[in-house]
Amino acid sequence: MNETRLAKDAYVKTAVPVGIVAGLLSGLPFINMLNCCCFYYLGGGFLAVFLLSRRSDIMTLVDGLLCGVITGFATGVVASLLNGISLMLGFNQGLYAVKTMMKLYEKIELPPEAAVKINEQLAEQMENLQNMTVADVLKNSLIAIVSAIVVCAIGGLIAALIFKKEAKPQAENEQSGS
Amino acid sequence: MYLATIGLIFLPCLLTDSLYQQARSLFQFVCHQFPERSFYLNNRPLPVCHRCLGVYLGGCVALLVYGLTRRGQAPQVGKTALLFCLPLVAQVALKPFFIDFSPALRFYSGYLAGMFIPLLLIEALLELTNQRGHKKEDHT
Repeated sequence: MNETRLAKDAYVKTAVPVGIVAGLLSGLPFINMLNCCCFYYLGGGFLAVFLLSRRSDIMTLVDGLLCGVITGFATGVVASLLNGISLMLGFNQGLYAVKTMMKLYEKIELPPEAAVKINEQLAEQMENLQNMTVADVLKNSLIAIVSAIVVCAIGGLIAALIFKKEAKPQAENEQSGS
Repeated sequence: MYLATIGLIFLPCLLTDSLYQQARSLFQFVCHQFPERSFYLNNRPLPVCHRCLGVYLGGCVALLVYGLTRRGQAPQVGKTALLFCLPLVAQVALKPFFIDFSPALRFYSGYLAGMFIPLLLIEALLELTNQRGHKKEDHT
């Protein structure tokens, strides 16, 4: 049986610092634009499990999953906090993204009907972002945390699959010890 | 859960504007949602891009096949399953060199990569429940 012998402490010590860095990268304005396809989230989960596997003699999928979940939680919380701080400072990252998208779509040829719809939707999205309430910010933060947990867990699982280490049988351990 | 996600991607496009906006805001943290990189339904771009749609649909199909063929048995995902991710990784790696791919290729690369993720998740969760079960037995 593959039993997780890693202490809870080991998960936290590895996952939290990596999660904080990933959260900083995905929460800071402009730098977070590189978070395409959840690169920071997946990478954060992967890196945390890779570091954990270097520290321990055993690495199972469960270790990868748990470490990924903790990393995701830390990433989501830090990213949400940064987003909240930038909103308080008057910089709405979502609004900036929508404005950038609007500029991009002026240069792209789209089917006329679709272009009208997209412009309408972007305008509506912009209005919603300008009139954001505290409840909206909290709701978005919750979604961001859950998304980060899921994606980091997947990153962690992939890393655990690559760096999997089976537990040595008891007899073998004793022989190598003597 | 996968079926619910698929429903959340497709259904709001056929319903009201506010529901569609809600669906878009739900997926905004996991997908860039560029309309020129998304399929259209009812003249609206889906709330996820070609590649993400492939990931979700691939996962859904893999779960269905697993449910129908290997019911009760834990999946055993080996390292070779990572080969399924290679097309997606290659596409992302070639992006900085301005090499772009057709929507179909983007969709299928996501589809292949998405197929093994739910199986990996099931394997890990079954391992976790087994460990919990053994711990409970040890206590009693």
